[in-house]
Amino acid sequence: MSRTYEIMYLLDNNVVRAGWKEAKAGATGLIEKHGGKVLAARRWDERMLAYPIRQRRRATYLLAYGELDAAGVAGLRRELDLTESVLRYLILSAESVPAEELALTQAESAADFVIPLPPEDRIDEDYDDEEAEEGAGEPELDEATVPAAEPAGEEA
Amino acid sequence: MGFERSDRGERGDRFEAPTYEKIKVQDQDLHYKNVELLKKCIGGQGQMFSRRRTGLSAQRQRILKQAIKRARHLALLPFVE
Repeated sequence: MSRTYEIMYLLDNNVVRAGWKEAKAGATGLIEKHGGKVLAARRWDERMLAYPIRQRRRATYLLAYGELDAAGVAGLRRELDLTESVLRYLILSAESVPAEELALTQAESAADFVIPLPPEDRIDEDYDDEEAEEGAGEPELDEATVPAAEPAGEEA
Repeated sequence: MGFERSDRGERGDRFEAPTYEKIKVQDQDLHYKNVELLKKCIGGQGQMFSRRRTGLSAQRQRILKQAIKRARHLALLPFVE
C-alpha cells in the first residue's frame, strides 16, 4: 500500500549553482527510482543554516511530495544517506498534497521561471575575519610575551 | 491573584512569579516550516520554552516540541547558540 509522504531535502548549493533543474531532477528522481511517484516538488527556500553542515553555511531547501510504499521509503532513506548532494532530509507522512504546493510546483515548472542563484558561501570570509581578529590581537600578545622572555634570556 | 499592601511586609518584597504573554497559535500553524513562530518558542541559547513560558496546552506543547526538533534537524533552528 502506498502512502503520501512529504520529503524535505537540504541540497548542497554547489549542486544548485550548477543547475537547478538537474539538482531537482536528481533529488526527485530518487523517489521514482524506489518505485514512487512525484506529486509535487518546489524550491522552498535558500537560507543561512543555523549551524554548519559539512562546511556549508548556506543551503537550498527542496520540498517534495511523493507516493511511496513502505519498502520504497526504506530504500529511499538508505540512498539519501549515501547521496552527497543531499546534506539532510526529512520524510514525513502526509494526508494529502496541499493545493498551494501543487500550484507552486506548476508555477516553478513554467518555462520562464528562474531560480535566483544562491549567493557564495561565506565560510572562507568568516574564517578570514576570525584570523584577522586574531592577527590584530597578536601584536599585543607579542608585547606581553617579550618582557617575559627577556628575563629568561638573561638567565641563560 | 494580587496581594494586599498590608500582606507584603514593610519592604514590599514578596515574591511574585513572572507572567508571560501566551503565544497565540492555531494547530495547523505548529509545524517545522513555520520558523518565525518556532523562534519565539526558544530562548537565546536555543532551549525550548516550558509550558509556563509558551502558555500552550500539554497537547500543543508536544506538537511544538516535535516541530522544534524537526526544524533543528534541518538546521532551521540551532541546537545551541
